[in-house]
Amino acid sequence: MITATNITKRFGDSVALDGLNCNIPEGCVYGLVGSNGAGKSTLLRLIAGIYKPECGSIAIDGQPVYNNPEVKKRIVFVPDELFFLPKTNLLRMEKLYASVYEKFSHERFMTLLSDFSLNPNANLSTFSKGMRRQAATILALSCDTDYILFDETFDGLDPVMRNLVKNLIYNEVMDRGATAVITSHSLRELEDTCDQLALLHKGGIIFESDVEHLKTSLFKVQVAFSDEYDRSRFAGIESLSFTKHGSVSSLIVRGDRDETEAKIKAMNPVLFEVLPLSLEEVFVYEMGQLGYEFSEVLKQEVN
Amino acid sequence: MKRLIHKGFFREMVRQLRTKGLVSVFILAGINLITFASFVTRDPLRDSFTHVSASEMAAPMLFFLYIMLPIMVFGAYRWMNKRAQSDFYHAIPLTRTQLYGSTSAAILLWIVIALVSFAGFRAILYAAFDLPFNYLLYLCVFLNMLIAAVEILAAFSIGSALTGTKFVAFFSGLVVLFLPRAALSAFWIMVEIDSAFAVPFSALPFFMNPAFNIAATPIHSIVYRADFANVPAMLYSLLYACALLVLGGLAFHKRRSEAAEIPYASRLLQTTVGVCFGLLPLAGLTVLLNVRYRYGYSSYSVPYELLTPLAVTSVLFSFAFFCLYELISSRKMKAVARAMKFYPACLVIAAFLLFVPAWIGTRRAQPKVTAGEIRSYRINNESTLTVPYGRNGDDSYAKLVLSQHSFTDETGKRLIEDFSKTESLDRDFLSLTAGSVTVNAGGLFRKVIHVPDKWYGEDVSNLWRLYEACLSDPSLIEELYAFPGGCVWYECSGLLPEEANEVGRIFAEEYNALSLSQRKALQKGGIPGMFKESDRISTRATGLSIKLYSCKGTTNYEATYLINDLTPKAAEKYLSILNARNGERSRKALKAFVKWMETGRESDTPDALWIGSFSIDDWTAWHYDDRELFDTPKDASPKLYRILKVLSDAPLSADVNNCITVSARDYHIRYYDFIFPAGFEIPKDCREDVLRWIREGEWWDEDRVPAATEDDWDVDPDVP
Repeated sequence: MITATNITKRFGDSVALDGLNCNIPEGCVYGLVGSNGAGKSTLLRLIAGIYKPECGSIAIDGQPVYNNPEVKKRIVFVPDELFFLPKTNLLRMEKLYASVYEKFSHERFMTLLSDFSLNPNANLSTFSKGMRRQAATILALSCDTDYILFDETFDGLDPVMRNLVKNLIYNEVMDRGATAVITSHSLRELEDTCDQLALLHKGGIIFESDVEHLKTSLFKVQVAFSDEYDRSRFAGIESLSFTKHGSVSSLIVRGDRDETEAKIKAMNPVLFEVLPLSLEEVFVYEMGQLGYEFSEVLKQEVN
Repeated sequence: MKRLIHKGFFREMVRQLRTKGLVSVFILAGINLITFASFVTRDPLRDSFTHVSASEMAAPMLFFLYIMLPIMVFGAYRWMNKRAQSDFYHAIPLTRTQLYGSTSAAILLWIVIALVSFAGFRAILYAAFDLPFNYLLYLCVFLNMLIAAVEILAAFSIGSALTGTKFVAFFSGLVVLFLPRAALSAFWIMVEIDSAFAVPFSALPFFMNPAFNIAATPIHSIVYRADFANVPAMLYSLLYACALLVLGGLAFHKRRSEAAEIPYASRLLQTTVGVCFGLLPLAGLTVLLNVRYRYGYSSYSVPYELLTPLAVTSVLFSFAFFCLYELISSRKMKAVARAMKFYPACLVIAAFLLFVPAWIGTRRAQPKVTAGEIRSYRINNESTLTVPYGRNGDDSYAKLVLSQHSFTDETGKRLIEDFSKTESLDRDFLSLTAGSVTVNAGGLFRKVIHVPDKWYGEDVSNLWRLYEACLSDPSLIEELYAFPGGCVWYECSGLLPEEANEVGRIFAEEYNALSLSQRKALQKGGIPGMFKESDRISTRATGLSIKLYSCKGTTNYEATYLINDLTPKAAEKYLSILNARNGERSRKALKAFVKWMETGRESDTPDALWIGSFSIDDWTAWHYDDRELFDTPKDASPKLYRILKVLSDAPLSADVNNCITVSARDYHIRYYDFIFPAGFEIPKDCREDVLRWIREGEWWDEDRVPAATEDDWDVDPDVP
C-alpha cells in the first residue's frame, strides 16, 4: 500500500503539492486525474522516489521510498517524457533494465514484443511517439514489479494499442496482484480503466473514490407526475440536483438504486426512468457538492 | 562494497562508456605506434638513445587524462543534465551512492584499461629495443597517473553533481581541480618571496612541488623533473584525490533530480564559480602589485608606468569574465543584471590576496640553527660541484652519490650556522641558486637550504670551504669512484648497442682492477680539480669514452668514463670495431682533406675533420682571415699538411698507445653525414709533431705566414 502523508513539494517559489494525503491500496488500478500543473506527475515522481518531498513522507508498506533501493525494486515508472539511450534499440534497453531490475523477465519481454509487434532490432529513434510509448510499456511490464506507475500513458497510442495496454494493465493487476497508478488529464481515458480515482487540483487531492461505487451510487432519474409538484416531493431521497421543465423533472440521486426506484414508484409517476451517469457527470455533481466548479478543475477536459 | 557499487549498473555503465573507452585505448595506442615507428626508423649508429625518462611516459598519459576524463565524466553523467534522463536514473532501484560509485568505478575501469594497455605496450616496446628503462620508476609514474585519474574524475564529478548543465559543470570541475592549488601557490609566492632561508618550490612541496597534487600539475612541470617516486607526495595526492572523490559522493548524494537543466544547484555556487572567473585577471594583478610594491624594481616586477593601465585593464577584464560566465551559464540577461551585485566580492578577495600575504610575509620568522643542533647535512645541488646534468634530466652518478651521502663534519656545520645567521634577509636568492644543502637538525627541523648567490658571489671562500670539508670524507670518494652495479646500459659513439655492451663489459673489468687515483682519471665530470689525469696522451689522441645508464631504486642516473691506455683491452676492442667499420671512409675523408690543402676545395672535401679530440673544422675560417687567403692551405700550413699527408697513408691501428683517431663530417645538400672515427698508427717520421700537437691541445705551425694587415685587403690577387 502506498501512503502519502502530508506531502509538500516545491520547485523554487511554486508549490507543486501542498500537504497532500492519499492512500493507494494494493491490487488496484488507481487513477490520478487533473489539469496541467495540478501535480499529478510530481506525485508520481515522489512515489517513484525520484523527488524528495520538502515535507511529509511517502511510504510503501511503511517503508520510505526515497533513496531506498529495497522499496524501489518494487516500483517501475513510465514517465510522460520517455528516456531511451541514444541511437539504441529495444534489446539494448532490455539490457539496461535487466541490469538494475532484479526480477526483469526476458520471457515476458519477448512475449510483450510479439504482442505489440515491435521490431527489437530497430533503432528507437526511428519509432513514432506511440511506438516509443509501447516500447516503454513493454520494458516496464517486463520488470515484474509490484507497483507500476504510468504518467500520461495513453498519450500517443492509437485506440487498438490503447486497449491492448489497458488489457495488459488489467492482467498485471488480476494475475499478479500488482498495483497500477495512472495519471491523465482526461477523465474519459481513465473512466473504464481505474478502480479508484483521485482528482488533483492545485497540489492537493480534492476528491477520491471507488469508480464502481461512484457509478452506482450516483444516477439520474427522470420523472413526471400528473399533478403539480416540487422538490419537496422527494424529501426522502438524497438528490444532488433537481431541475424541472414542465411536468418532467430530472434528479441526480445518491443512494441505493433499487431503494430509490421503489420509493419513486410508490409516488405513482406518469413517467419514470433511471439513467446511468457518465463518470464526468458524476464528477461534476460530486465536486459541485464540495464547492468546486468542475470546469475549472479540469479545464482541458471541458474545453 | 555493495553499498558503493551496484554490479549490474557498473556493468551497464561500462557498456555505455565502451565507445569512449575504446577510443581512449586507441588514442594511447596511437602514441605508442608513433614511438614504435621512431624506434624502428632510427639509425642505431647515429641516433643515440638515452634513459627513457619518467616525464616521457607521464606527459602523454596526463595529457590524455586531461582530455578524456572530462569527456568520460560528462558522457557518463549526461543524464544529470536532462530532466527525462535524470528522472529515469533516479527512479531505478539504486541509492545515489551506488549510482555515483558504480559510474566512477566504470570510468576508472576504462581509464585503467587505457593506461595499462598504453603502459604495458610501451614497456614491451622499450624492452624489445633494449632501451635503458627503469621499471620501478615506471610503476611509480603509472601509480601517479592513476591517482591523477581519480583526482580529475572526482573534480569533474563534483562539477557535475553541483550543476545541471555541461558548461557550468565543466568550469566548476576546473575550479575544483585547479583553484586550491593556484590560490595556495600564489599565496606562498607572495609570502615566501623574501625568505632567504627557503625557496618555496621545494620548501613548500605541498603547494609548489609538481610532484604533489599531481593532477593539478601543469604539463610543463611534469616534463621538467616531477618527482614521481616521492612516496609522501603520492600519498598526499592519493588522499587528496580520495577526499575529492568522497566530496563528489556527498555532492551527488545531496543532488536532486529536479536540478537537471538548471545551470547551478544553488545561487551561492553559481556566484562562487562566477567570482572565481572574475578573480582570474585580478589574481595575476595582485601578485604583480605585491611583488612590485614590496620589493621595488626587480626582474619580477612591472614598470611603474604600466601599473595603472594594467590595473584598469585587469579590473575590466575581471568584470567581463564575471558577466560572460553568468551570461553563458544562465543564458539570461536578467540573471547577469541580478548577479552584478556580487561582483564587488572579486575586488574584496583580490584586496585580501594583495595585503594578507604581504602582512604574513613580513612577519614570518626565519629559522636559525646552531652547529650543535645540526646532526648531518647533505648536498643536493650538483651545479656547485660542476657535476654535469645527465641528458634528459637524469641525475649523474656523482650527484646521486652526493645527494645520498650525509655529512657530519664540524666545519660544514659551523659554516651552515654562519649562513643561517647572516643570510636570512637576503632578497636576491631567487636570482641564482648556487647550491643547496639539506640540514637535518634532529627534532628541530629538516630543511633544504638554498645557498644564495650572495654567499656564493661575495664570500665564495665559505662555499669552497664547505665543499672541501665534504670532499675530505674518504667514504664519499670511495663511493664516488666505484663502478656502478646493477642493470647497466652502455653507449659508445659509433658502436651498435650490442657492441657497446661488449666494450662496456671489458671496460668494467679493467676499471674495477684500477686504483682509486686511476679511476679518478677515467670518470668524466665530478669534482672540480680532480681530472688532471684526463690529460693523458691516449685520451687526447683517441677521444674515446663510454657512457652508461643505470638506476638506483627509482632514480635514473648516467655516468661517462674515458677509455684510454688505462683500459687498453676496452680501447682495443672499441678501436678494432671502429676501424673495421669506418677505416676506409676515414682514410678517404682524410685524403680528400689533404687534396683540398693541395689544390683547393672540391665536392668531396669534408666539411670538418677531427684528429683525436681536436677539431679542425674551423681551420679554414682562420686560415682565410690572413694573407694565406692567396696561398693554398698546403703552403700556408706546411707542418699540418705534412702530418695529415703522412697520416692518410698510415696503417689502421687499434693500439691505444700508438694511434690517433680521425673522423670527419660531410655536408650534403640538406644534412650532415658523420664519418665515425677510425684509429691510425701515428707515423714515425712526424711522431714528435703529433705528440706535441696532442699535448698542447691546439694547432700550431711555426711556419705560418704572419697575419695580414688591413692594407692587404686592397690587394687584388689576380693583379700581378
